Amino acid sequence: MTTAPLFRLLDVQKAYEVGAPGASLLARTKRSLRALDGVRLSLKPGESLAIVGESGSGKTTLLRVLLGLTQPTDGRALFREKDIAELAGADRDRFCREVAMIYQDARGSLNPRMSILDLVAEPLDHHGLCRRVDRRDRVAALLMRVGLPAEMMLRYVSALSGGQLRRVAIARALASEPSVLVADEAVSGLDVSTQAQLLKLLRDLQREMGLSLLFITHDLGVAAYLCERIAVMYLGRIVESGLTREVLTAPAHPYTRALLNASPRFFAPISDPLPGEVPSPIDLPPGCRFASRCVRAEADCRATEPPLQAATSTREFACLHPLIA
Amino acid sequence: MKPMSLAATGAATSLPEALERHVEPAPHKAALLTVEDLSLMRGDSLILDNVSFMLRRGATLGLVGESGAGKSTIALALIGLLRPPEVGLAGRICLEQAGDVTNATEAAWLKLRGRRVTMIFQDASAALNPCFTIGRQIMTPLRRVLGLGRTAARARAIELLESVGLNDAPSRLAAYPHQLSGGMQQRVMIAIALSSNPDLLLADEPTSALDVTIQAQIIRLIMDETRRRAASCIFVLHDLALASQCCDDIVVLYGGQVVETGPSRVVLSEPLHPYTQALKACVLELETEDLQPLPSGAPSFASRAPGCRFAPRCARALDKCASVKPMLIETRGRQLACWNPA
Repeated sequence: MTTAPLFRLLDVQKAYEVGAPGASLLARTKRSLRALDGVRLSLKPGESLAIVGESGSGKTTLLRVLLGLTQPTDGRALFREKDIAELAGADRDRFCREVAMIYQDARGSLNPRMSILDLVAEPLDHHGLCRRVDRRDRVAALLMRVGLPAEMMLRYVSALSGGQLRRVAIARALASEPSVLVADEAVSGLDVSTQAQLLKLLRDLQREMGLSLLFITHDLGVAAYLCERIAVMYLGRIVESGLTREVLTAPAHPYTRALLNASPRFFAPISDPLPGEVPSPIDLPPGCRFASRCVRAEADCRATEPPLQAATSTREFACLHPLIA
Repeated sequence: MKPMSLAATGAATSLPEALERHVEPAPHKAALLTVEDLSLMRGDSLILDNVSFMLRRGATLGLVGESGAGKSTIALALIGLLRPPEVGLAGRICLEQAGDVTNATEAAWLKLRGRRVTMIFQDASAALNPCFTIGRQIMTPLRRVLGLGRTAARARAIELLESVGLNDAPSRLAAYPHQLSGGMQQRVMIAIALSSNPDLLLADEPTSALDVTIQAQIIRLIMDETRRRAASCIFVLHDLALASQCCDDIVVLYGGQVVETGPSRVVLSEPLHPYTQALKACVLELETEDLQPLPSGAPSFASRAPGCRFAPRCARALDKCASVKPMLIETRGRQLACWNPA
């Protein structure tokens, strides 16, 4: 197997033009909202990467860029070294087959008028992956793989529970025999018991099928369980990335530390929470964008924006006064 | 258990004396709320099955369990929003000074609800009225419940918003809910819930829609503010780790039955009921290497079903678990309902 990355983002920037806050709808003045600002990352075959951040950090925009749904305004987003937005013909077909997506809202992402059989078989039909006579058997095998009884294929979305629907979404994603699974908060909003079942399933699938996994989550526990690597985002920038275990045992960026402190842990007192909220991404002040909430911020933090720099071969962070040397 | 922090919330100390009804520091031993053998029937389904627990004045209690365990149902029953004839109630809900309120009339509840018992709902954006300004929504109960005049209500509203950490409070009064972020909306809900200086605050999953850093702020805020007012708080939670951080006592529910209850330090550090153990094993901590998920399954609410409702999913179930219901028995510092505890 080659080690050429599947996905590569090179200083990707995505800016949206928005009306100035408070101005009339007809006003000509437009402000720029940089949802992504200089994002660099790569995903190799078989790797698992967690993208962690709070709402407004640009996780969803990043996902849209990776899926080719949004064009970056600057920088390049590559899949197997080709620009995702310019994929056409056979390359585009291959991209659609190889990259499978699991959405956060499983119920909303599955057509309620199609049976589970048709939903799971749709990628098979589209890509011509199996003969008509084998269709039922393939769907049955996929459903069983995700822990659902094969009889469920005759049911409809409305008859299934939230946890079962997430499994259907996973089976559907696996149908096209992808090499990358991209999941957006695929286990949030569920009971812990259901969440644990799904996480175990996803980890087993990733390991057994050698899938790459790109998992967007706000839960550090989920990231630690599922992914070898982690990238922490804040306001459109990656502030720290590296091996999950290293980053979470000794975070370099104060924001990573704050996220860790805020994650519920048994019997730990709720330490002083991070003050304030994520500021508006419109017209950001110069300097580090975390400076307004950072307990370690000094004068230079408000003047210069720290670049994302490699500290070791596996670790990068963007901080002028990191927590580790 | 946890240090009380006034500084962190910028607590307003200039509250009018008349509003500060409780001067004694928390916690005391006296029971504020006693729930005894509370059963709730909806048609043929027994939604709550002999639920009993006690809440001390100034203490925090957590109701935990999966969805469908009856956590929110208990909260709604405690604030008088689930009452006969809509549902059948048996047992007793006793509130200090008000006595048994299980069969209280709506007129009686109007004197308690929003005054002595208030509630913070899970989805603040749905609980706030989108048509009215924040100011109107926070001032209406101040004027109706506390009988404050327009100017006094406005001043008090600003004080309350500041105490829940909303900066620029005077201008926020004119804002509509959609102009605030989710965390801000939840702060407004808390300010409204605290406005009448309640004895009992019910917080139904107050942070499940919020980011983790905001969750920590909100939970801290609820704890600090209830403690400062010597009020008691019931948290409805599904996250056991969070419950261990903010609840003095804990009630673990499964299918409307209490399976284990006691001080959260005792119950959560060494759970004895197989269900509590399984729930704890599902909680992801950073070091979690291996998860042992519970098998799927939902409890049956059929009122005729005897036995422990967790038995079909329980790895330690005996023959009698399905036929005879285990009673809550004092065991090793907590109350436990299990025929075959670990």
